[in-house]
Amino acid sequence: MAFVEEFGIMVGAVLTIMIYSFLVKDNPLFRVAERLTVGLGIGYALTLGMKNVFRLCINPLMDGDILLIIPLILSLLQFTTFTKESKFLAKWPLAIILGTGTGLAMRGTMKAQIISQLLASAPSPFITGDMLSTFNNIVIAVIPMCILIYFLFSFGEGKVTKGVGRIGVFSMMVGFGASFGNYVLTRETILYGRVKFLLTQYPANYVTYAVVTAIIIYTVYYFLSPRARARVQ
Amino acid sequence: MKEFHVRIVAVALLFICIGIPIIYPFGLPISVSKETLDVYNYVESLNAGDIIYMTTDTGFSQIPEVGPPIVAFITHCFRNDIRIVHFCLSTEGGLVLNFLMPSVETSGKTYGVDWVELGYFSGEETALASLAISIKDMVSVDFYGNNLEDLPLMEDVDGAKDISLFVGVAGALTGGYIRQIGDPFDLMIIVLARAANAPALYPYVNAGQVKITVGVRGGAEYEMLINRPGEGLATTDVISIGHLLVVGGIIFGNSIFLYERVNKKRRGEL
Repeated sequence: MAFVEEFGIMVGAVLTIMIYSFLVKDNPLFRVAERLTVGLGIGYALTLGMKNVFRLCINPLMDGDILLIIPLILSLLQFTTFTKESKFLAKWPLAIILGTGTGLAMRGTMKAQIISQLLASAPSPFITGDMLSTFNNIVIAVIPMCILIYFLFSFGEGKVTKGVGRIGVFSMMVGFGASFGNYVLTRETILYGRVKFLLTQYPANYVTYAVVTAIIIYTVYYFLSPRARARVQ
Repeated sequence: MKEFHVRIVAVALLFICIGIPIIYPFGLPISVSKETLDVYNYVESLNAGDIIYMTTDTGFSQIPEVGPPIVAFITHCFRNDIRIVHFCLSTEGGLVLNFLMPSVETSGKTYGVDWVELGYFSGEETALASLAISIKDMVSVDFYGNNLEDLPLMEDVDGAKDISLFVGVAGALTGGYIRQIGDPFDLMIIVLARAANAPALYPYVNAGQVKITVGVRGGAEYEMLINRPGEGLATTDVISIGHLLVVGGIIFGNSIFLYERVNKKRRGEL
């Protein structure tokens, strides 16, 4: 393994541990690593963005695709926002971005996210030979109604609507619980990736051993020295 | 100080529970879910030579979770001679694929013939809409600067009308995939989803618009299906132990809460 690659892995290990030091408390090491991560991310995105501008716009423009001058001028107009006199010009590219984005998103929303979902809520056949899928069909059809009733405040709150709304609330809680569980799974997997890197990737594992040894020595010192305990407390 | 100690103990426990199976894997058995099997069967139903669009819309930090399903899925596609046009709508997507490609089974596959990397396109849904209509109207070179006219694969594909399947990674942009590609071109969408995004995708799955694999578990199942154990199956032990710890924590926390509540009631404080 080349020295540069090994050095990169060691830096990665040190930065990972610096980030995890936040678990103890907010500290300068964490803040350095945090700002470095944000800075690198922005730097990378900026470089890629510039590369994209050249690949998609400036290079074809140089090759004679003259129409590309329009998006280039529009994008340059975004920078007029920095002076008070020319600020109004920045509204044009923004309007085009928002208009195009909204128009495109609206194009298929009705079918993709409303009609298809409604049709899926009324499965056919509703009652099947399989008990579990019949129960599933009932849940899919009934629960959205209960949740809608909970959120509809336009009619008075009677005993029935209150009861049905309560079913809606419980259903939502089940849904949020499932989402939370999946979120934990995602975070756990990311933690796994880091722990595996720290324990098995050479030479990151040596950095980990050094840090763990330092923590053990400090813990022993903490318990043996009344002065250290007093300072922490 | 007490809270600090509890936090440190909880985190240390989690680190230990994750660390032990990494060093000594248990090999806990897993079953294949219907969702992953559906994805596998759909890829099996495609013909050799079919072309798919694939977009990796996720960051480098998500590799432990989306890496296994990506590697298994591309390997499966290559085994079935399915060709891939890859691009990304998030800045780090290209990096993610470059990092993962050495783990993919690419024997006998050639860049430009079996797969092409178009790189990053800004604009998310807007870019997707343009790529669905025509790649060549939008860009004339691939990510590495090769002219698209020189790449044999690009002779057979220009837009979504020429593809058989659209594959997204992560799942945050699934609404856009359906709006711009799935519905207008009547194409199936497969999402190699992060577990965190999966609950939001189930309405689409129920409506038959999307097929998904869920997180690293989905990747592990896919590895089993293609008979190529990899990082996904190695992770399942860790995930199972980690989940047991979290479930144990939830039961323990709730028991303490209920115990204190009962005690308070007894003392008449509630």
